[in-house]
Amino acid sequence: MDDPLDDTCRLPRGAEGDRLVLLPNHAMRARRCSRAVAALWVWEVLAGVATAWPVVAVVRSVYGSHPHADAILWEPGGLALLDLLVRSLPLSGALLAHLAVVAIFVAFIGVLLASALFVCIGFGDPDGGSPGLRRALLASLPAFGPSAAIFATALVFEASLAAASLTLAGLAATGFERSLGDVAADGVALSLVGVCAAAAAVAGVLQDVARAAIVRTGTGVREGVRTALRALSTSLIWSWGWRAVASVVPIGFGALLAERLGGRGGFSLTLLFAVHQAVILARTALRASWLARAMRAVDAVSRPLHTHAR
Amino acid sequence: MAVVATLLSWVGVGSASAVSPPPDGTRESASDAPIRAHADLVASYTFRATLDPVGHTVRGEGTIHWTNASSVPVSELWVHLYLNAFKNDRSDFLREPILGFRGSAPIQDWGAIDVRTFVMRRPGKESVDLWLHSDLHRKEDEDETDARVPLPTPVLPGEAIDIDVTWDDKLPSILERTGYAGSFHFVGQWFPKIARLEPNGRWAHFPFHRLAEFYSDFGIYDVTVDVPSSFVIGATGPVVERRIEGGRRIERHVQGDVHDFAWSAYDRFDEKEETIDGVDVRVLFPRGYTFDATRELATLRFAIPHFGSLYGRYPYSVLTVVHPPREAAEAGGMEYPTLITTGGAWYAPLFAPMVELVTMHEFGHQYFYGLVATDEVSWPFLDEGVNSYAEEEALEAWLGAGSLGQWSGFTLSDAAVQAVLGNRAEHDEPVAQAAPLFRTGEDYSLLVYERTATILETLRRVYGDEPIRRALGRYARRFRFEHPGPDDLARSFEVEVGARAGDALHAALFNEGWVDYTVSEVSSRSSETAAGIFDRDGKRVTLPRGKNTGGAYEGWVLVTRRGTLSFPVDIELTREDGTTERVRWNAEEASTRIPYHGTVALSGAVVDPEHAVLLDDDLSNNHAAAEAVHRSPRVTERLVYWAELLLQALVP
Repeated sequence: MDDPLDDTCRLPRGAEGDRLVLLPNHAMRARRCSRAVAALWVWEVLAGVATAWPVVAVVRSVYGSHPHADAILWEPGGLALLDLLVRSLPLSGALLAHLAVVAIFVAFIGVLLASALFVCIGFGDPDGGSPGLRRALLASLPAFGPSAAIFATALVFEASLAAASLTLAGLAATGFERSLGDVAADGVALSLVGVCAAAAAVAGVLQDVARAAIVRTGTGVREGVRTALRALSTSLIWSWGWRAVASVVPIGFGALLAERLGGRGGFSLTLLFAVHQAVILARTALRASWLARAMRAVDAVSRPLHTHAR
Repeated sequence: MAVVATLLSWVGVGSASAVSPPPDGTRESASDAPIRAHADLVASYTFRATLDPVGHTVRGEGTIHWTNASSVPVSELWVHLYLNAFKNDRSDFLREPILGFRGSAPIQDWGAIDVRTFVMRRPGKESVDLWLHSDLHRKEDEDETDARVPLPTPVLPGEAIDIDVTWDDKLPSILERTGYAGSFHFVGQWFPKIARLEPNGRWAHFPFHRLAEFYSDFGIYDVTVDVPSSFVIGATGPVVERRIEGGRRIERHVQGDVHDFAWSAYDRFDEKEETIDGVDVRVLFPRGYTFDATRELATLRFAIPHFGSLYGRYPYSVLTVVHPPREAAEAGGMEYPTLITTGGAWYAPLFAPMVELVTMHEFGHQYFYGLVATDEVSWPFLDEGVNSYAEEEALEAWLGAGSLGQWSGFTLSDAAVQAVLGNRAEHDEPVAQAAPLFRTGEDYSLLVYERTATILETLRRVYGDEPIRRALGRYARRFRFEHPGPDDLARSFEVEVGARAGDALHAALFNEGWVDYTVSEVSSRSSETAAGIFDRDGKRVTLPRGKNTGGAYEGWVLVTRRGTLSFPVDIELTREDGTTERVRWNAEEASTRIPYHGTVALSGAVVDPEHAVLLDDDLSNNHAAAEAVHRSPRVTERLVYWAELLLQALVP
């Protein structure tokens, strides 16, 4: 039986059973894991295709054989687009169910992939090399259960918070509109939503840090959350915040370009595809950067591990 | 009568005659010469209304001057008491099994109108209170919105009577355009109103129905509104007197050539004023809605001259726009002579110009309801439908193809929205029928508003801008200050656009007319030499199949038309090298087979590529390819990207 005080037993094992080495705090960087980040992006592309395909299939069945193909959906006035949307309304239930199933599947696979990314960020071969995605995946398997539990709990909490905030905001908006006027009443409602959104953001940060702690220390849910609470600080939230804001910027750029190019095909469409995927990749990289920051924060408040390779 | 004569000169209204020269102060121009300058003044009202904003009551008193403009003697009056629709749950309005559209929210506070006195005065005869013998409701019918008032002696054709009336209103919580919410009061359909008497002596009277609006005679409204001094008043017509007295704000509004009067009072109104094309426009809006008010003024800057150029100059000197607060949103989106109510959130986004749409629509009603005063109960499509077309035409002329929104390279037009919505109900019931006959509120909305607009827009796209402008322009000018019916509209189209367009209009409005164009087949192959058994020159020869070496292709496109409507359409043939060729099909027969010969293979065909026929039942069958292909690169790219973004938001 492992000695609970022997931290070496908590180090993740690679595919061949050899131990991975905990990296020094300053070396826990996302840029060390570019291949893992690229693999995550590929996964996101595949997940995106799987999510979108039923709707794509509907469009293809209706306008796939049109001489102008789906460019007709960008025609001025939007008649064909609107007609298609209205005619497809009966399918919306099935499409939403598909979306929900894919989203749940992708989310929980995402927990595993994020754990693997934590391993890539925080650990390395004894010679300092990256553990590789396959070894990282295997090494992250033990963390999947507690990480998934934390993710699900946080998701339920955030959803409850969203529902509560919308309910409260609605009540505030209607409750104060007569005494304060519509604009001020909406201001109160918006403030409530803002407070709830901030709470949800903090919960999200805690969730990420707790999952990092689970991978870093090999502990369970309770200890992971405790570690995350110890690691939580203003600077950590700021680290998450600026990355969150920065990750919105490329979306805006992509939207501007999409608006400019409209329904053009050929090179324009290829360019748009490239830019859109660059946006996704950039956001994935920013996310990895944040997870590395979370890992460093956890590392900073955790007991040192033995770092011998076996 | 002296009072009436004074008023006539005051508000620039001539005697009840057609095509009189415009008196000073009116806004008729030379280009409007064929238009009637003034209405026949049949029912005029001189009232004083006192608002108690705490009890939400209005005390009314004054005189009704009514002329029998029909050709027969009249032995009874019919009086609309619309507010009684909200008196109890036995009214037709609240009892009708109708869902959808507006007015379906549960009533929070009852409303009613109680007429206290209704005293008729006739020269040389004794005054008599007619209300003592009035018949508020029929036997076994508790609706009290349509009162019958017997006359002691008939009123002869051309004879006028005066009626001194006092009454008390209890305003309901805001429902179906009228009532109060907090200190906001919108006072519409608030006084005892004489029903319209048709020229043949038939009273066009009716109970207040859930889906129906109104119908009445033109006259002069001289109304003095008395409210607490902290309140701002918006009302029909210009203010001719204004004072603060004993803590009360008292305003007298006088307007001729109108058939209704509504007003609003609120102690939190801000206001903006601007003179647009000679019209003094005043926007009243709740504090914080400045952005909306600015947008409403911008809309009217386009609308007033635009509608004037198409349908004749706006003849009144004022227009008041009331933007209700959110809790009174049900009062928004309504039209009264020289006063409209709009709506929209204070943060309504610019990329979806709903504030502009509502403003455009309600201003359009100044023409199609206000000036062309059709029977809104019997033929609601004549006001709401024709006006919905006028609205979409104006919005597109102003904002272009994205008249209802622009986002991420997509544009959405008002015409497209109306077409897609209107076509959903095309087989349900006729467009041209009385409002109470519609089975559902949704049918009423989709058919009366959207389907009618789509019928007219289809005619415009098929037959061109000019003929349709002439047809509607002719209708609007010819019937200004009159009460036309559906035949009058159809006749304008027959004259200006042609018999086929007139037939289509009639079939689409009255007979649930519909149409669906389909590209049924596209065939294309290399031209082949003759093959088979031939008897030539006394010999039987068998020729093998063989391709034409000239690189020629042949084939056909089969296009069919289903349904009871027909419009000429274009058919676009697309070759494999991307070049196209258009063929015009008159579409009077049910199908056409278009032969194809060319040096490039035919790849596909589209019927009605410009979407001229917005009434087309199914757009998804308007195209076909020679060979099955399935391409959707743009949609695939966009959807995959959006799915990735969505998943990034969800995935840890």
